[in-house]
Amino acid sequence: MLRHLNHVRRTELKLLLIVLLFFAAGYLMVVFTTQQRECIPSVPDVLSMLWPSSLPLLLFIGVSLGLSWRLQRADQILLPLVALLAGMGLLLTTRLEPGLIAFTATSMVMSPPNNRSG
Amino acid sequence: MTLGVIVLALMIFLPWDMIFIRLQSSSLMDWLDHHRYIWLLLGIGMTGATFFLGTDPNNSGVKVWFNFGLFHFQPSELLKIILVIYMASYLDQHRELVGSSYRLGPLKLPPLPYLVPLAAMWGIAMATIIFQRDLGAALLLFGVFLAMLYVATGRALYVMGGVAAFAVGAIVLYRFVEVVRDRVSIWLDPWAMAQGLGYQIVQATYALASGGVFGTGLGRGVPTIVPAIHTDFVFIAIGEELGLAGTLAILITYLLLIFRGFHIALRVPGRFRGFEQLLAVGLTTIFAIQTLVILGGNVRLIPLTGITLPFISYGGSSILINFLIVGLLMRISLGSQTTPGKPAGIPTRKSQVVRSGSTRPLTPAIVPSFAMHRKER
Repeated sequence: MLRHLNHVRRTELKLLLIVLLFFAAGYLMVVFTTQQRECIPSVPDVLSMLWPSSLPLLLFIGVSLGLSWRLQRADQILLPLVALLAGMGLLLTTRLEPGLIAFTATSMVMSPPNNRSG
Repeated sequence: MTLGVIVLALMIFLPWDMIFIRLQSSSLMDWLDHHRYIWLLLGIGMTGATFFLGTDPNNSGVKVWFNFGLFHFQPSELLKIILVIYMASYLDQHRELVGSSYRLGPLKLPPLPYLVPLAAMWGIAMATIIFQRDLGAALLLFGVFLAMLYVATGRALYVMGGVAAFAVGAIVLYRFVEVVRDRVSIWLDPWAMAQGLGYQIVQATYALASGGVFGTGLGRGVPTIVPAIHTDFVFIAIGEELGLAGTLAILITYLLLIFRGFHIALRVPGRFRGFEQLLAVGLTTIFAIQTLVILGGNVRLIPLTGITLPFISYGGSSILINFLIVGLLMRISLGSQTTPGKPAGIPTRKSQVVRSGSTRPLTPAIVPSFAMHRKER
């Protein structure tokens, strides 16, 4: 067991946790300030608010753990950076087009952007 | 986005090498390397097919999407990866030749015959895109082409020639294509038509200005006034709500990402892995140029061309392709790392030197030979 712990990609995991916290804070802030839903300050409520939209970032952590199990030698900085940018994108989509957010976060993502200038 | 992460995971975790060794008797990278023309024809064919089968779901005047029922997909996004794979493969194979020069009388010429297939394939791809009025993608491909040529040969001549060709092309397009003329006039003076074509960019400029150093605060600004804020003008939204600090943070993140990509390329070991090296450079350059072009357009440094900000913009097929690129980069970085026993932390330069010597006593399986190393990936 300890031997396996030794293989965990620590740098990546640490950075990913920071990114997750950053995203959670930003997401709660957006939801509160734009008043997309009523807020009851309790732990389960906050968690339920975060649940579907932080799924991709949790998946990132899953990918990181998987990497430390299978391929420990891959680059460790790339994944957190991508997670940060993608989380930022999710955050801004929540802010700018709340209607799209459920769609973006949880399901297919391949719909075309609106009003795109060629 | 979840789908994107799943694609990333598939790209990383599936033992592609085993699958390809069984099916094609070559590893994944070799397979990409050896089938470049098939790839390219497929990509160009798909992009070309949008002329006949393409749909235009949001009335923007360009038919560049496929309608797959469930979702829309933009093949030119795929074309950019394919073109990078093609160029990496070609340049790797002919690296010495492309880099050399031959004499014609008193003149020293670059080896034109070897550049012809490259330029032809690239020209076909560019033409397809330009006829679709997808200027952002064309600019992106042009930049990637020049960057890869420069990286493979190290000759500034190509870059200068490319820039000259770009100037000529820009003038020609300006003369004959109305979209380009519109874009340039908007860029030069958006206030002349602030209620018409220039509305978007004028509003974007005001949004940036109202952001200030620390911004209005997340959720406190009014960025939705700008049309298409969540696709082309995401950076403006960051600028308004998070201010200069937020935009700088995003820029630094992109810089680190690009730096990391080039770092991976530099660390690919051995002389015979040129394909992977060039591939990593090309894929990273896609990010770099995409960011540069759209940010320059947003802050009115260059004329605006519609292209997505990697990972942040709301644009489905683009995000998916970006995750695919990251997956490829991760796979390349696998081959470029240090000793297999080193568990965590960023491997230092020192341990990279150790790798070739293979003297680490504690590593479970040291594979000095090259072929084995490749398989293990």
